[in-house]
Amino acid sequence: MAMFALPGSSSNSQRIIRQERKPLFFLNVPFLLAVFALVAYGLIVVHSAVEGSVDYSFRRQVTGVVLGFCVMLLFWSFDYRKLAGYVPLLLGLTILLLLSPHLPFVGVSVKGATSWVKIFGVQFQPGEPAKIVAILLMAAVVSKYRGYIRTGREYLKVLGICAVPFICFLSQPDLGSGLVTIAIAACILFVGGSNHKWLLLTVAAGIACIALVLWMDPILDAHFGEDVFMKDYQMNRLLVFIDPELDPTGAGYNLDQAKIAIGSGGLLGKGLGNGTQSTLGFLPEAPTDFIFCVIGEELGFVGTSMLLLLYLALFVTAFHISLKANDLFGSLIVIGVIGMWAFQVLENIGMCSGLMPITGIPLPFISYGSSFMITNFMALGLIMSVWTRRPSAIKRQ
Amino acid sequence: MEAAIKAAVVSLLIIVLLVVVAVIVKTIYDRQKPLMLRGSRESGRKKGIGVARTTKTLPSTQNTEDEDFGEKKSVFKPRFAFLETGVVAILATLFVKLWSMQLINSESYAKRADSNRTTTFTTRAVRGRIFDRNGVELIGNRISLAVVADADVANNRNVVHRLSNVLGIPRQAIRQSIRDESEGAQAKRVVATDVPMRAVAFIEEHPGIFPGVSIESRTVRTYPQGDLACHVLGYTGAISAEQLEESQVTEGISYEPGDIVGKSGVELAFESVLQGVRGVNTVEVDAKGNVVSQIDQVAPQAGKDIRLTIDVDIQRTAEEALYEGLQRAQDDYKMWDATAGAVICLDLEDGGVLAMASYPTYSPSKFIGGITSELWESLTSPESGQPLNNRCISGLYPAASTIKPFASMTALKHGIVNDGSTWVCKGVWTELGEQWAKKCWSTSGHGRIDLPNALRYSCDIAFYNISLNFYRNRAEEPNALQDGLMEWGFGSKTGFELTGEAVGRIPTAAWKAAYNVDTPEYATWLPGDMANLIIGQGDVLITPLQNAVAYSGIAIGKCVKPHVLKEVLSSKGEVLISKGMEYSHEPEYNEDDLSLVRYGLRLVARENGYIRDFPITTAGKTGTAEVAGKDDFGWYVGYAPAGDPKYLVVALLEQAGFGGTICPPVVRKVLAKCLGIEDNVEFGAYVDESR
Repeated sequence: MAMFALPGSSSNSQRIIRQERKPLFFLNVPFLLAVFALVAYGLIVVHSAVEGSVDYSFRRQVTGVVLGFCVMLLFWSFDYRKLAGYVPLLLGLTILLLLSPHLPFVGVSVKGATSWVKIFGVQFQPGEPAKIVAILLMAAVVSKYRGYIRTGREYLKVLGICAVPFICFLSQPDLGSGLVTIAIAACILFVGGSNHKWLLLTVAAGIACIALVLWMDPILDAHFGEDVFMKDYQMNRLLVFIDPELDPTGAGYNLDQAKIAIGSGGLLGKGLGNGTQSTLGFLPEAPTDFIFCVIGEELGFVGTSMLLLLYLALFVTAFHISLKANDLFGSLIVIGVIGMWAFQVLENIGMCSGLMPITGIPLPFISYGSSFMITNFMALGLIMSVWTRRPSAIKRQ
Repeated sequence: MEAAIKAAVVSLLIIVLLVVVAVIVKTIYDRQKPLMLRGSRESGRKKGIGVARTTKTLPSTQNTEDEDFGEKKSVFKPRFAFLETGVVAILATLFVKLWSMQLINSESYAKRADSNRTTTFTTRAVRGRIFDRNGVELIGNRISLAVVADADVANNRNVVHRLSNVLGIPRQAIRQSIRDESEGAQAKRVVATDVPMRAVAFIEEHPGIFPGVSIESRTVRTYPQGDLACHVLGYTGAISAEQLEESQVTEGISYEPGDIVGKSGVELAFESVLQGVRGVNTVEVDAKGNVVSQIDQVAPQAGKDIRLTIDVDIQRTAEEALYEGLQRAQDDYKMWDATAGAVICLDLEDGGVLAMASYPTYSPSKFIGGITSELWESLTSPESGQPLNNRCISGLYPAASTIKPFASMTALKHGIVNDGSTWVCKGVWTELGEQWAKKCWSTSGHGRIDLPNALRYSCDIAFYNISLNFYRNRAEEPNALQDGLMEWGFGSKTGFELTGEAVGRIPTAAWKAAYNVDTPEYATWLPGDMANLIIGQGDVLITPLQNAVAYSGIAIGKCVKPHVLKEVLSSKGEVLISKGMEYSHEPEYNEDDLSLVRYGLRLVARENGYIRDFPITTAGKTGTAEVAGKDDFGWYVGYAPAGDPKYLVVALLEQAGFGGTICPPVVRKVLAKCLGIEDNVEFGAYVDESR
C-alpha cells in the first residue's frame, strides 16, 4: 500500500530492509529453519521412543546432534571448491572407508553385516561418512564434463566410478546403503548431463540384473549350499513385500506391526509416549528404522504430514541452493545430498507403510543413531558451504 | 467434536498441500523460461532496487573451473525441475498412503493394535449343587488343591525336576501338562490336581526354588450319595469340540475349551442353570506375552443350586428293590439273563419323580477329571449292558398286559364294551379261523367273565374279542384303538426334562403299510395285528415313564407331566423357580367307565399274592412281555392308596419272567417307603403266571 502511495519512500525502506538482512547473507534461513525443525522433531520423538529402553539412550542421541553440529561448522567453513580436483583421493577414501570393516582388529560384525569398526573403544559405521565422500567423488567426476557427458565412453567411465561405492557396500553386505549410493548417482548423473537414453538403459539393465539375481539366487544357493547373492532373510523380505500376508509371525511380522502402529494412530495419534505398539515392544527397533511408526502411532496423521511438510521444505530450499551454486560441482553436491535424503525418506516411510520392501535405512534427522546423525550434519555443512560461496554472496563480500 | 477437529485439520492440510503444489508448479514454470526473460522481469518488478540480479552479474565470479555454470542455467533448469518434481511426487505418494492408512482405514488398524495389546483370560465359576426334595445333597463340590505353573516353567529344567520329585510325576508328563494351552495361553497351567497336603506344604514353604509355581484351589464334583440316582443326575466332562462350536454360534453361555459341562441326566438338562459365568480378566501384555498390567477384572459368578423332586430314601429303596428283584429272579427262578430293569416312582400330588432307578448303574465320580478310554469302552461296549442308558426314559419295551386298562377305556368310550359286557374264555380263541387259533395264558380258560375280571385275570381272549370289534369297525374309524391309546400318552414323549427320551410306537395300519413298503405281502393290517395291539404285543413299544404317565391318568384322571426339577435356588438360598403339577395329557372319558377300570385294577391288586396283604388298598396291573429271542420281561404298575392315589410305581425287569411274580414285591417295597409303612415282603412266596 505504502509503495503505491509514496513510491520514493518505499524504495528507501526496501533498501533499508536489504541492508538489515545483510549480516545473514551467508545463511539460507528457510533451509536452516527446516533442518532445525526436523532435528528438534526427531529429538522429541526419539525421547519418547527410547524411554524405558536399556539398548538406547537419549543422551547418546543428543551427543550425536552436538557432535554433528560441530562437524557441520567444520564442513561449512571449508571451501568445497578445493576438493574438485582430488578425484583419486576421494575414490581411495571411499574404498578405504567402506572396506575398513573387513580389516582385522578394527572390523566388527553385527547381525551378519560387517559394517562397523571399533577404534580406541569408539564404535561407528564408516559407511555413513563414506556416503558423503561418495557424493563428493561423484560430483567431482561428473562436474568435469561441464553439464554434457557426450560420448558413451565418457558415460561408462563415469558410471564405473559411481558404481564403486555400491559394490563396496554390497561386500559388507549392506544392500540398503548400496541402494542409497545408486540413488545419489542417478540424481548426479541426470543433472550432470548424461544422455537420457543411456540412463534409461542403465535402469533397465539394473532391473534385469535384479530379476536375474532373484531367479538365480535359490538355484545357486541350492548348488553351493550357502547364500551366494542375497541372504535368505533379504529374499524373504522381498517376498513378503510382494505378499504381506505370507507369514504374519515370521518375515511379515515387522511390516505388519509397523502398519498397525501407523494406522492405529488415526488423525491425532495416541499421544507422545502412549503408543502401545512401540512401548510394549510390538514394533521392532522402534527408535531406529521404525521411528516413523512411532510418529504415526503417537502423533497421528497430523504428526506424519507435518514431517512430510518439513521434508518438502528441506528439499525445496535445498534445490534453491543448488540452483544458486557458484559452479556445477557445488550444485551437484547439493543434488547428491538431496538424492540421498529423498531416497532415505522414500524407503524408510515407504517400508513402514508397506509401499517399499524392508531394508534397514534410517530416516534423516529423525532416526536414532549418532553415526547417521553426524553424516547428515556433514551433508548439511556441505550445502551451507555451497550456499555461502554462491556468486551473489561472494560479490557482496 | 472430534469429527469437527478432524475435518478442520484435514481441510487445512489440503489447502497447505494445494498451495505448496501451486508454488512448485509456478517455480517450475518460471524456471523453464529463458533466463534473460526472467531476469528482466525480476529487474522490472524490483526497479529501483540496487541489487537487481541479472544474467550479466552472474559470470563475473571467481569461479576457477566452471565459469560457464551460470551461463548454462537454462540448460540445467529443466533438469532441476524434473528432479524436484520427482521428489515432490515421492512425498505426495507417501502423503496419500498415510492418508489412506491413518484417516480412512485407521479403525481396523486400531482394532488390531488393541487385540495385540490386550488379552483376556477367564477364571472358572463354581458349578451349582444338586439337592433332593428334602435338601439332602446329591451332588456337591469340593476343593481340590492343584499345583499350577506359568507357561515358561516348562523350559526351566530345575523347577520341572523338583516338581517331578515332589509330586511323583514323570518330568515329561509335567512338561506336557504345562505346555497344554487348553485353558488359554495366558492362564496358569495345571500340573497336578488333588495334590497331597505334604507336597502342597513343601511347595508353599519353598517359593524360592519353585519360581512360577503356585497352589490354586479348584472345585470338583463330589457325590455324597455315591452312585445313587446316577441316571437321573448324570455325569460331567470336558466340553466337546462340537458343543464348544455350537455354544459360540448360539446365545447363552459362551464356553471355553476345557470347561466342565453336563453330559447326561440333570447335569445336562439343567446345564444352563448349573453352569456359572466365568470371571474375565483383561490384561495388557507386551510383545513377549508378559502381563504388564491388569485392565479389568470381573469375578466369576457361581452356578445356581437346584433341588430335585427325587427323595433320597425312596430312590435308595427303589434301587435296592430293583437290584434285589433281579437277583431273586436269577436265584429263585433261574432267570440268568435278568440283569437289567427300571423302577419309577411318581408323586401324584405334584407330578414329581420321587425315584427313578435304572439298572445296571455306573459311577459318575469316575468321570471327574476325564474318563480313561478303557473305562469308557467298558461302559459302552455291547457286552456292558449299557449302564449309561437310563432305561426309564429311553428303554423301549412291549407294553404287554399293562396296556389293557387303556384298551378297555377306549372300548368303553366307543361303546364296544359296557359294564354288562361278558365274554367266554375257553383257553383258546378261534374267531379268526381254526388255523389262526390264539390261546389265553390260562389254557384251561377263564369261563364267562366281565371287564373288571378280564383285567383281574388279564384274560387275553376277552380282549381278543374286543379287538375284533375294533377291527370290524375299521371302515368308520380305522385308528379308534390306537387314538384311544395315544390319548393316554403312548407313542409320544412325556415332556420330561431329561434328554434321551424315546417316543415309543403304537402301530397303525398306515404305519404297517409304510414299514413294510418293500414287502407288500406283510403290509396289510390284519385282525391279528389288532389282537396283538390290544394285549400290548407285536409292534407296540413304550417306555417305563410313558407307562407311569398313562397310569397316573387312570389313578387321578389326568396324565401328569413328570418332572424332576423342584426348585432353582439363588446363591442366598432363595427359590427362584419352582415347578409344580402339570399335565401332559387329558384324555376324554366317562367317569363311570374310569371307575369300572379302576375297579378292575383293584381286583388285580387283590388277586396278586404279593400285593393283597398290603395294609393300604392299592390298584395295579401286571404285564409279561414276550420278546423274540429273550426271556419274558416283567411289568407291574401300582398306585396307592387306591381311593385317593398319592404315589405310583412302575417296575420293569428285563428277562426276569412273569410280571406278576417278580415285579409286585419291588413295587410294594417302594410304595411302603413312600407311605411310610414298616413293611416286609418276601420275594418268591407266590407265583403269578398271568401275563
